Amino acid sequence: MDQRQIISPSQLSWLATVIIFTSSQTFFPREALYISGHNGWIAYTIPLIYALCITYIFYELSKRFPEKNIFEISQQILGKVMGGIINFIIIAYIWISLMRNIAILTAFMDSSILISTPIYIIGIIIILMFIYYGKMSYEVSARVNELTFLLFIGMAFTMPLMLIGDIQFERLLPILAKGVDGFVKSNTLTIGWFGDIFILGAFLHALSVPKQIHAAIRFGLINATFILTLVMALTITVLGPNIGSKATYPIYLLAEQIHFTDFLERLEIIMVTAYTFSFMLNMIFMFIAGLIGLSSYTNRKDYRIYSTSVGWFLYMFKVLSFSSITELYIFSSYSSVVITLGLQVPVLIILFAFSRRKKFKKKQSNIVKKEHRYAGNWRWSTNLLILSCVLFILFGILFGRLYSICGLIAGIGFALCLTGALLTSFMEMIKCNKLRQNKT
Amino acid sequence: MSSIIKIILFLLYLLTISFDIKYLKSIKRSEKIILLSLNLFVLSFMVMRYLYTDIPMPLDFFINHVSPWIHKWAHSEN
Repeated sequence: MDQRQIISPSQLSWLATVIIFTSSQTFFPREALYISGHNGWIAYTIPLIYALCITYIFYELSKRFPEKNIFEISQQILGKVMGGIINFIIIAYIWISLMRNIAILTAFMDSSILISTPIYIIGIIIILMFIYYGKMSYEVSARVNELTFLLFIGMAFTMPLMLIGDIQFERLLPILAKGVDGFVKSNTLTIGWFGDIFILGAFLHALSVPKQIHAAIRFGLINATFILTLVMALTITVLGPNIGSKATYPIYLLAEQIHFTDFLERLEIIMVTAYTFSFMLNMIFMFIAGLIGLSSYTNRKDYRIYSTSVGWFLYMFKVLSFSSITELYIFSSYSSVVITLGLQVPVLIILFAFSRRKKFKKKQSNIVKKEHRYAGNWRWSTNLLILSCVLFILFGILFGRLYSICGLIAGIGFALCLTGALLTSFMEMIKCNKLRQNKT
Repeated sequence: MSSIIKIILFLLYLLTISFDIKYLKSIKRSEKIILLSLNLFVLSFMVMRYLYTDIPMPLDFFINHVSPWIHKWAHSEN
């Protein structure tokens, strides 16, 4: 295995989208619809800001410690012992999220596409695949993700067209008339899923330009938020909030509603296949992130030796942790946010605070300082548009209950700003891709 | 999970682990300790599973204590 593995900014961006979209699309829509009803589509705004803050900290860290991942950075900043403890917390977070995702995918496959296959066989197949990919470079997984991402994103963006006959826009009305309670609760619970972006810290060394890391993850996050909001709005307009909040997998039920003609049936199988591939790649990257963390203890760049042992360890841990789908559901829906905030926030604060000490500040090169201003217009446009999204929601929550037109304006404004943020963040990523091209 | 399946799983585990033996000569002592402790965990989990013994897992705390608390907050009416 090559000591230096590289992934492109666009690959990192697709990866961010897949990580955020796939894990939160099984159980969470049901919970968001139950809490917020027909306003469930606003459940991703605050988590997006939280994930953008994580991205900013990653950017600051990679500026001071270029070509180093979060595990190496923590050991460099905090020393061998404290760094080791922080790395253990990061690995524990990654493995808990991975176990949750393995359990979710096995439960989903068991009840949707592989109904007759025993659940432990599905689990073993997934683990064997992890072990196989864990023995390869993550460049391979990034390329596979690039291939399946096309199918996945194509399906996600064409869903409104495929379901156009079943859409009833009046199901979204009255927009934002339920007050602040549902907004706060659904957004808080979603942070647990958006926190998964933290695993990208293990791949900070895969890109040498910090600005590209920042722009790529930002676009990936906004892209995922856009798709999640679109799919949630579709679930509400096609199924309605009541059915959506009672179905175990509302997204699967939504895909089942697609009927083109009498001879083109069971399109949900193709969609679920694309979704499953993307979900598996999400977990493969989590698995590799854990392996990179483990190998940081012995300063070994080659993480392959741990692949088999860690794979089996996670399988047994998963089997013994979740004895039923109910346990899995309550754990993933409610405990994820506590684990995410409880483990991530202290780690990020410690790393960010200690990395700002003077002796590390000197390491920043002049090129990195100049690059910070690059594509600044697009970055600020994206930030302003995201801020406008939040302001529109607050406006809708404050006045939507009294005047329905205010809710409607807020809803349209939010949709336009989110679409605008998607475009501007894409432009920022495209512009940043050109950085240092002449030097390589 | 029947006993036969558990034995097949164990054999599959041994088979996959056997592919890693070639690495053992070239790795450091600390890496050997990590690998050994991981595999000891796996084996002890497998034995306990075979004997139908309940093991307290760290996630049980979240499932039994944290989740009901958050559930209560999320579903409370204001």
